Amino acid sequence: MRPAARRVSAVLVLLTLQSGCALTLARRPAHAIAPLGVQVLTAVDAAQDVIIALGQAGTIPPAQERAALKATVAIGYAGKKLASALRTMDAAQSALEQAQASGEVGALLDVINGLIFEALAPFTDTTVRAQVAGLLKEVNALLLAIAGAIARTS
Amino acid sequence: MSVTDATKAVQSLTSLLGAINPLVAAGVTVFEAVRAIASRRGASDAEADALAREFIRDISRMEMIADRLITKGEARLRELERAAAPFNGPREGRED
Repeated sequence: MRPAARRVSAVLVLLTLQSGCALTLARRPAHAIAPLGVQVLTAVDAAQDVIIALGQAGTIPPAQERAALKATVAIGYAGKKLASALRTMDAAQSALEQAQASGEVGALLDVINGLIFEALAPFTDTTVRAQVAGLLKEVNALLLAIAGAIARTS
Repeated sequence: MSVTDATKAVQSLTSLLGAINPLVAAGVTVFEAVRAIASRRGASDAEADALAREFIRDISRMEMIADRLITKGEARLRELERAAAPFNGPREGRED
């Protein structure tokens, strides 16, 4: 995915997440994003397990496993930063603080979005790609489900 | 992403922007627009407390899963490094 497309995708994700709370759950944006963050990280965790299992079984070469694992570890670090940014976003007292925290959350979603594609990139075998992509696509399915709920209630 | 998925995403996004655009057009930021819509719906104090507790729990879970991703991933990367090490050069104490 090209950087510009990724950026647009991340902005849409943030918009969807922020608006999802307002239009359907009457939640504050950070409160709506947090459970989705949990689900995103859970899906990546499951994908990491599959990558490790494929590596241990010798289905994928070590170089592919290493490259994909590095991306999942980076998602872990980005996830920790996202949790911290969401805390800041929730505690923000002024519009400026809110905007800064919101911008940081958006940037981190952009990073995670890019890393998800990076985790998938090393795999050349179609079957392996399908296995890992199936899990990573849960993230997109989740976001589409939220967008669908918004569409039904607005 | 399939054409169907893309179509659904575009439809959802159009609907979403339809709700936000009037406020944004009135000069407020997207974030303020979202907050305004949220406050119109309002939540009771009890609901707000429950949501706050849920938020803290979600953030803790995020941190826990992120830590697991890092620990598990780095442990496996070290294993792979160790497995590759014998091919990188002669081992210490090897008799030729």
